[in-house]
Amino acid sequence: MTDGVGGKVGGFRLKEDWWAILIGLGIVAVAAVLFLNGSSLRWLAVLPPRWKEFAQVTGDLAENWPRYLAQFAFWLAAFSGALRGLGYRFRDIAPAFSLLYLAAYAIFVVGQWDKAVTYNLEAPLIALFAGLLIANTVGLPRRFDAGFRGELYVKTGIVLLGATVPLSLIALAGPVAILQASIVSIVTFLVIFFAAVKLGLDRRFAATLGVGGAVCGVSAAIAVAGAVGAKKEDTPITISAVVLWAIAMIFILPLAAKALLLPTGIAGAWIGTSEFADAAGIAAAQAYGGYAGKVAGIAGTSEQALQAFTLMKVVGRDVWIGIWAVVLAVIATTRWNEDGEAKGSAPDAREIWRRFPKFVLGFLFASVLVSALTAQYSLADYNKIAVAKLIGPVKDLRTWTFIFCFFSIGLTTRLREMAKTGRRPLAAFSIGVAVNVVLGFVLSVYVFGSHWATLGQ
Amino acid sequence: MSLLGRIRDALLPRSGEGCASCLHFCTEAGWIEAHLPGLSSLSSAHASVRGEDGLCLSHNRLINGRRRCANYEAAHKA
Repeated sequence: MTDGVGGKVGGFRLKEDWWAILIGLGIVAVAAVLFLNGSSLRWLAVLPPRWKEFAQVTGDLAENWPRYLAQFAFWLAAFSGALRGLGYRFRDIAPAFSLLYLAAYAIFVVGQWDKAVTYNLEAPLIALFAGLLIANTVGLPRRFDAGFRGELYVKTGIVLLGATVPLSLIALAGPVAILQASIVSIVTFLVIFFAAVKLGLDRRFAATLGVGGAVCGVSAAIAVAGAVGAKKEDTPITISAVVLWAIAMIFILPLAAKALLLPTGIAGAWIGTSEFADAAGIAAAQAYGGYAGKVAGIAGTSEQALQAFTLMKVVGRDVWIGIWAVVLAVIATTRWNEDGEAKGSAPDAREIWRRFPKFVLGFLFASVLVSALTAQYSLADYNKIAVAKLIGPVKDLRTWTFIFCFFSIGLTTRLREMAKTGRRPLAAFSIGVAVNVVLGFVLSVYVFGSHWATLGQ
Repeated sequence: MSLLGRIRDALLPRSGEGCASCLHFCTEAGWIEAHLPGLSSLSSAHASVRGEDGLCLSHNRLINGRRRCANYEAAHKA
């Protein structure tokens, strides 16, 4: 990327969300065509096997190395195409992605060990921890960040996730997710906003902090900071608070849910309500889903954790960011403009669409496509035919994208470079976190518990 | 002015009054990520949610650039 100076206006580029849709729906479309012709994407969707003896891993590699090589070439072509479209250079992307793939393979192997759960070695947690350790000790060349684009990987994964979530499930569980998420989002925003104002912070900053904790983390913070015209230094402070808490919650929420033996659907809903960023929440939900069938007392399936999380976070919270931005822009312009200066921001209703997280459309479209293709199957045939030949391979490719994402988050979180949050912003945000976690738990476990525990059954 | 007209004016700024061509307005994604540390860790300047926001170097604010201010200065044409 080239550095910009004043007046540097980025030319037209397809946004990252559209690239995620192109890659994700492209995979689903190819899987669908192969499925309709009696074939499958299984050959490409190779995964390291579950193992007890390491010889099983080396045996798998000796047998399947052409498949891993083809998969690596496929991912490199797809993601480097997208990243070049976003303005990055192939000579930076290629070495970074090669390293990412090799690391993802190694992380996958550790996560597939039959003792992994015993030692809390879930793949998302290892990926994140290893990335953080590398980024904050030896570090990697800055130009490699071109390939460590966690947001592109997680959005692609969410589009692929759409293929594994039946449309009927979205229609049935979506309204409950929207209701629960709306309650928590509004309460959390108001708590952080008024705590921040009470602590003496500017209202634009308070609003940026508020949506960072209430809606979709860093993404919400930048959207609302721009809409209300927050000071430049307010956004990095909000980002630091969100990243700090989001990373802590990746470890805290699954461990707390595990201690309480929550069913996977309930834990997914809680994580969806109380995590701050999509990528961080998927790491937590996938880690918790990994306990299904392995930890005595935890009911449900691994997919329930991810599905409940996605419905809550993506459908319940993310899609409303444009409305939050426009409403807060109206308030900022009409109520917070004491010095009479608009400071470059003004309400614009078109931002509801402009800021809409478009990858959600890919998630929905993938669900529609696969639901239409499998509508005629009985449950038994769905599990025997559609899951084996269509949904299973897409799900396995999705798992790769999430590992790419988690490792990238770790590698790009350089704690030394983060802005210092200061006591007052961190205090206001932390009060909101406490309210959010408790309220999210009460709603997920006691109010809507039976709904989330039986999600999709 | 009718109520509908006032709502429209409040929510749809007139075209040609924005900051897009201002010397002080920066929207380039790489530049924004470099100036907002941590942004690319759990989000991205390439995300749809950013819309067309940019950094105003005159007011030192992140803005959506929908309202041109008195400090507007046309950027040099290439």
